[in-house]
Amino acid sequence: MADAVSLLLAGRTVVPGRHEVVGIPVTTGLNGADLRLWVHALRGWSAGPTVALICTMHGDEWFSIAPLRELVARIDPRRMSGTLLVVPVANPPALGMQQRNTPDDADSPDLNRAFPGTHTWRIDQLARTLTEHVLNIADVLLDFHMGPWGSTFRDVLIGDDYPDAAVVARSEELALAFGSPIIRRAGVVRNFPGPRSSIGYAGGVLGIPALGVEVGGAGFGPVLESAWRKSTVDGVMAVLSALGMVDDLPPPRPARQLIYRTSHRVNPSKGGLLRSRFGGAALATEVTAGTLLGEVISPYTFEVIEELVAPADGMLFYTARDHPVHPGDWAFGIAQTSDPHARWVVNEPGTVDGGR
Amino acid sequence: MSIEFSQYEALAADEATPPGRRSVRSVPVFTDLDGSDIALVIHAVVGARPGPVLALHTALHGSEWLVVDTLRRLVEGLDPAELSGAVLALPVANPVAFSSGTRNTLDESDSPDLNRSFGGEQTWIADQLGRAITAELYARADAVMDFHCGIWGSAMGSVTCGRDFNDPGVSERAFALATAFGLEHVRRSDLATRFPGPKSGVGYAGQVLGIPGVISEVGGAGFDPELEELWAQKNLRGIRGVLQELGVLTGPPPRADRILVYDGVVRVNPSTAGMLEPVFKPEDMMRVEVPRGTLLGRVWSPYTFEVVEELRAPVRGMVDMVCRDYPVRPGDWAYIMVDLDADGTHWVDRSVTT
Repeated sequence: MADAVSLLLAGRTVVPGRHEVVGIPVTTGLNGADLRLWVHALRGWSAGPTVALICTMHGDEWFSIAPLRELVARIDPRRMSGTLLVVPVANPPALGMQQRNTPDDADSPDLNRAFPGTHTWRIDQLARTLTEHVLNIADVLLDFHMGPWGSTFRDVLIGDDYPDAAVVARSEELALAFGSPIIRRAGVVRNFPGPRSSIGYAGGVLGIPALGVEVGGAGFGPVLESAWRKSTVDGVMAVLSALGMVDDLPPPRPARQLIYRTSHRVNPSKGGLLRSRFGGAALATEVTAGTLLGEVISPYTFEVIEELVAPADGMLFYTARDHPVHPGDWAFGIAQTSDPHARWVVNEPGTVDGGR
Repeated sequence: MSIEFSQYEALAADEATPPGRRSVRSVPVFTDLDGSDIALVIHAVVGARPGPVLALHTALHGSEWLVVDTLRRLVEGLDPAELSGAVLALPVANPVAFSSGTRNTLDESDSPDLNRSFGGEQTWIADQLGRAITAELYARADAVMDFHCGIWGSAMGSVTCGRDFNDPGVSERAFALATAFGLEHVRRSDLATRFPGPKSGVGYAGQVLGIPGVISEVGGAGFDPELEELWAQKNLRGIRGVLQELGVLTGPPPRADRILVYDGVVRVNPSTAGMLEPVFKPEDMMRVEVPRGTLLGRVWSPYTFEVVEELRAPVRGMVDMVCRDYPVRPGDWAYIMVDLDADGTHWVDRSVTT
């Protein structure tokens, strides 16, 4: 493999074998502070693909920041091919408020609906900076979501409506390599999260494979949360291994992986205290239609005011613990296994994605 | 404990809260801008026999929600036939802040903290809620318990009573109730005149209304489920202990043999925003004595991943508040320590308190 040349990132030179942290100026806020986008650039010793890892696009979805820190500490760029660009906080204003969206009055306050960034709202400028300095030079994108207090996820979202069928196929290969037990393959450009989402834009416009990764959540105790963090690190390492960037052999894939299209959100329509019957340990387990997943209790009268019931057979790709919820808040997600588009990928015992 | 009680008869005479029954009533307070009718929903469990009335409220601060469900378990577990007296329970004292998941009401009030607004005379949301709680709960009670707890990511482990009420008898009765809660440590502080002050719920009840009160701060959200259940059990046992001390329930309260009484506490909270990372497991730190200088936690930048602050014990102390890993802004909750060398920190024998 050819030796890598230096990477020029926002005017900063990253030489092969180095890990540099680059603060890219975005704008100046009303509080007088410079808003910057911090990128960890790990330039491999030899040439190879560029993989972008983006996290905290939504400010309340901070759970994956810590595993990305572990990942960066684990990888030695001198023993890596290609380039890893890690953006642990894509939306600093939203993280500062711990809210999903940027707390201004933009008509596009959701960063994951704002690519490539058109206007001068903070969100548009963040999207533009991400596009210019990260997405435009990436060969693969992994965008990490979810992990707000109280709910937890376990799936990878990929598009099946990109113009280039090869991008669709490569996205699925990498999602399988990530080791997710549940993979949703759906119309991310035409439908959800749409053409201006990170993966919609990356796959639809830039033509690169893109994965929306949703692993874990906060508030479930150290045992489960540590396992989810490990799954995130292992998953990224497996993708890097599949791309030939690292020599590390990832853990074996799950015995079988579900690829599906139809999902059901089973979220409360009323505010109250969610009492969960399927907590974090129930992630990626199967339930049948009609199963009582949880109840909403009035914190005022203590009465049960809503029952949350599985509408179809499927796997739980998100669950929740007991916590206060507004109408619409995340509770339970069903990946429908009876969908004619759903299929299982069965892996031979010990299936791994070999390194270089 | 000898306590004068005067509220039971009025409560039992009210057709909305008949003796030997449990009931729920909704008290309208105001209409909010979104059209919502904001009300206080109060549960009453009125015993068949007369006795003191204990008022309980949770979620004065909207982000401190974990104890709401504990109050539900308490109310559903009380048998009116076993009570000599009554329990009034207000699970959500601040529906507006509870709805926004924030400590304070999100208006531009100059008194947005309900626990600093009792006796308020304005029409701000917190002032109106404070007045309604006073009229509908405190005015019907002989003793008060106010429950706080850690928000997502932090947990507390103390019970507090005032020692500075104008009527020394109120201070003494409050101390007896606090020790009846059953913890081995009680914060006895200048609650009415210093912190949380005369406009706090328990401060106002004691200072202005002459009603003894206790603040429970036990537990927090976002931890191991078994740990959270232990905290719920501790609160439930504590409430029953207070009810036993009052004579509403029979039997002796679970008072500890030796009790550490203190006032001086030190907050060890971050001055820099970032990802807070405790050095020890939260369950291993609560109530543990640590030497001055002990490293308790770190804050690392979610941007550069560098450690930007270390949180160390500034005194020889007992850890009274713990945290898990979570994102923090400057000042957010991490650790509170009881200053073991502060004036007034001392152990008392249980015989002194009864």
